[in-house]
Amino acid sequence: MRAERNRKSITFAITLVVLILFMVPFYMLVVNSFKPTAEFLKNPFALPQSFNVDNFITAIDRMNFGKSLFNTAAITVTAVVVNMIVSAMTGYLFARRKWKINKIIFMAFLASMVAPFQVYMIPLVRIYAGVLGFSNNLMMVAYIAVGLNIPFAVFLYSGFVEGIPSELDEAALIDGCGFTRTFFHIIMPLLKPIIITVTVFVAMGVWNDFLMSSLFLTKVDTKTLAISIKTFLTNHSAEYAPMMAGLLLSVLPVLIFYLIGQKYIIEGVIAGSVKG
Amino acid sequence: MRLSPSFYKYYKERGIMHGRKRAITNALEFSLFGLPSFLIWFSVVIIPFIYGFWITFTDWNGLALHINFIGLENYRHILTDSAFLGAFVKTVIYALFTVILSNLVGFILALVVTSGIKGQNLFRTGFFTPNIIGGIILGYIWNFIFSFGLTKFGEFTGISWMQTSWLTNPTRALMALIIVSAWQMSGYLMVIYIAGLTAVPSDLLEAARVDGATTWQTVTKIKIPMIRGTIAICVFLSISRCFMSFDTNLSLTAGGPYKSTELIAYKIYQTAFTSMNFGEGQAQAIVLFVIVAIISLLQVYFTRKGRVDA
Amino acid sequence: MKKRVISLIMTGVMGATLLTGCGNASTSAPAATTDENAPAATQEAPAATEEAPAAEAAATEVNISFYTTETGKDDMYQDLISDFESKNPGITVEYIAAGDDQLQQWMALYASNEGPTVSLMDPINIWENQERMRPLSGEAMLDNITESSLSTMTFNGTVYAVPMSAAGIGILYNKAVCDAAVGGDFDPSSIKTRSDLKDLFDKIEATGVAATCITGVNWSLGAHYLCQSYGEAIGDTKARVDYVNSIISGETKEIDNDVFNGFMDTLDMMAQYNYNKNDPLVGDVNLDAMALAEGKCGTWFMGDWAWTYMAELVEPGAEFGLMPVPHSDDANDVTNQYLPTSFAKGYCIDASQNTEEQQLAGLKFIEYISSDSYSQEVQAKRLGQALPFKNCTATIESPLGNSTAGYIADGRTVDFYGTPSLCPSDIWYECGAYMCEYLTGACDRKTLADKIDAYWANQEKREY
Repeated sequence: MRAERNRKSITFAITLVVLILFMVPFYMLVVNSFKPTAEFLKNPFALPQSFNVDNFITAIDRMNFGKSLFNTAAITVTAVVVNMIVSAMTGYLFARRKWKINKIIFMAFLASMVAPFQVYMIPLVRIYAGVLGFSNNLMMVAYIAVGLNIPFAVFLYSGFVEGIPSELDEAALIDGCGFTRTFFHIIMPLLKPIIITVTVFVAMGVWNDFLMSSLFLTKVDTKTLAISIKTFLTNHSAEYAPMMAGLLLSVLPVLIFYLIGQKYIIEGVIAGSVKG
Repeated sequence: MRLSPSFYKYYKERGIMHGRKRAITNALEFSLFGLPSFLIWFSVVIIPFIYGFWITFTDWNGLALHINFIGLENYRHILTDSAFLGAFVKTVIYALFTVILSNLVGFILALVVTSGIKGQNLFRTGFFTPNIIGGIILGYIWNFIFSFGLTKFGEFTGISWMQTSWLTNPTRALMALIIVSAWQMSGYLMVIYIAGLTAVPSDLLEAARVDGATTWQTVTKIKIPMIRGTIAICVFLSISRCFMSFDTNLSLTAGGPYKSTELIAYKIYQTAFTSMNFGEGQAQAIVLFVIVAIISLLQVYFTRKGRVDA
Repeated sequence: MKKRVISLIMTGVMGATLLTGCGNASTSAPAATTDENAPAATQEAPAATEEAPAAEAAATEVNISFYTTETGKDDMYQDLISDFESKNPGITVEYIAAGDDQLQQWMALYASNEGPTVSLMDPINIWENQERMRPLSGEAMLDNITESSLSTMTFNGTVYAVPMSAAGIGILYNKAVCDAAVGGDFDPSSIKTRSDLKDLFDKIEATGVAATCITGVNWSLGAHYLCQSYGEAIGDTKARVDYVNSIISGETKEIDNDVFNGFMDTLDMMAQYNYNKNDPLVGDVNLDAMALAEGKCGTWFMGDWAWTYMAELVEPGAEFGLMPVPHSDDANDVTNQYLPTSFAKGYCIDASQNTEEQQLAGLKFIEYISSDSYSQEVQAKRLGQALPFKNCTATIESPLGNSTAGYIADGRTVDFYGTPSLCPSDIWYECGAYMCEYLTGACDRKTLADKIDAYWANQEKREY
């Protein structure tokens, strides 16, 4: 028992050190966002001489922060919700109905996941923005984000549903639930852990997306946070000080959401494991 | 297809056991559950892909009004383009190290975080946070650390090879890229591994403990085999992410020093946009896609086969 | 309870975004565009100016867009835009700022059928896409532009853009440091040869300060330093184009060229005195500007635009200037003493995705930038570079800009570009990388020359 406790303490200590190392970039981000550029360049590890918020004011102004934040949130929430609904349903279908066509589509999904975005980047813009005229439309960006994340989501959902014993489906069948009712009443509640996992990943991806959004959102009032960071990048260098502040501000909403939501992530995972 | 008695009863009662009614039911199920996602995906991925594919047979520069058909010329050039092949080789090396490193770290972290030590939740949250930050932003922060932060640290401690920026030396720049990518991805993989590990039946683990198995034995003989599916998913995801790595490549090294860390996605982007050789850039993307698709499908196939056997 | 709150919030946000999404869809309908395949408008300009008074009387709202690749000057352009809009009611200018991926954003704008009405681009980009641009030859406003600056924007005898400003490229010097080194008043025109420069460097080092600084980035070494070797030292425009074409065809090799070797010899010499010697590629414009401003190094290879980075850091009254990079030891070769100047960017008008009204409004905008006194004042102050506009009386505050202006006034300049299309648009990226490799000593001169030859071999023949 003593050995076990010692071992746990050692593990704890090592993990703590690793965690601190992991967090160094964050420390640098926070610390340097309070410094003007010159001080920043002199010693990036030092604590700031004074906590002036000039950088933050500059960042909020230059990045049009309020609107950018709203735009990013709008796209992310829409994309995540729509993606969750359609992908969970397809994941269920692919897991429970082993038809040829399902397998083919599934393989196609997997294959498309490894295609670099550049392959359909400009064609995407030419079709949706050029021909159909949807440039600077937040919902179009959300729509595309949904489509791009479907393979990944379906992949995870179908894997998870396969792990749910089909005896449950049969029990529902006895109660008179068909395919659809079974999904909404029996399966979906059980999907909580994986829904949370997928939601977190898709949300991260969409929130931080830069390349795709930058092609469609060119006007100042439709830009997202990731795009508006670029205002600090000039031809030849970067305005480090306000950029650090801007980066910190951009990361903060996600961090807060994650810190609040991670209780659910944990609960979800625990619930999943208890079921298992 | 073996069906349990309840299925038989259900389908027989509704007369949808065989034949047309069955087919209609199937079609309806597919339409409701499969069609929406398929259509969205098709419109967003496949149609642009086909259009892009057509562009690879032209000499379009990405902007011009005129566009000429040049057949397989772009592909022919790619096969002899040492820069493209070089970028591909570098990406393979990068992917190899990053996949191994991030999966190892992610798995170990997941183990630690599910082992019941104090402050588990804090650790779990902490290790995932790097993944929250987008690739571009991450790259800029780390760029600064490698160029100036570590050099200050090197001056302080007097370690000579740390005194010059990592990013001005081809080997160290690639190492930097690997470290940053692994740092970001391990949290991501850790979460998936956690999900997999928590699904391991606790009675199995309990039985092992009762039998006196050491932690090492528990991990290697029980946990790892039980999460084969998770490992397969993680390896697949990390391989594809590595081959498509662009954001961090751009902001951390921008292909430097002197194009020595130009990974393949970055090279494609430069060909298409900086060199304004869009047709060829698009063709490079298609070639990359084919190669990576083959690698990934092979990997999935082999791990699935392994799983069935197990 | 908490879950319900969260889902309520999400529904609310979704609902709000759906509404804004609909709103966006209606307002983002692209402004009336011309058929992409329609030939660019030709000589309608004279007729348009005649009708102008009548047209202005019945002016309708015209929306144009302005895309700039000159980063860090957003506030300046927005200032000019609001002034322009107040002087031209009925025209609204939408400002689109570029980040550091100028070309990609431009291409994306065109791909989404939103080609900017007025774009501030590098001449090579305008040249490559001239079929989309409105020819400007014959426009009245060109009379106000100095002829020498227009040549960079002229392709096949037709002017396609109005140059933004003159930029000088060369060795910046900190006068105080150089004065201390030579023990008196430093005169840049005394540096006529490479040996003179080396002398100066030795003297600066003797005072305990690094003699020079090279920022080891691809654009400085590739687009600027290397391209000097395709400059006037080779000869006139025709000679330069012929030379480059002979490399493309493989008839000649860079390694055999005196001018190329001359510049590389100078680079080798400068590298020995480089402030960044320990890690040549760690260079950053901010840090190196700081080094020059604080006198940690005596000189710096850069351009007069570097004043933007130095302005905040220098003591009031401190003197700085520019001098050309000598490529040989021939004191009689004027190209060792003439400053290369370039008109690095120009304002062009898109005719492929903008209506005639929009193009005319764009013309007005360019005319405002080039001839309006307030605009010139603002630009002189913020850009700190010489403006190629004849009626310009605004003074430049940047000592570097004034240095360049001095060379221009004395006629001691050489045109850096020669023709707008001499160097391809990706030379800074590809050959810049080779130059960086060379600077660190990772490859030798022969390898560098071979790689540059290979790069050119892939390019199309250049035209005059």
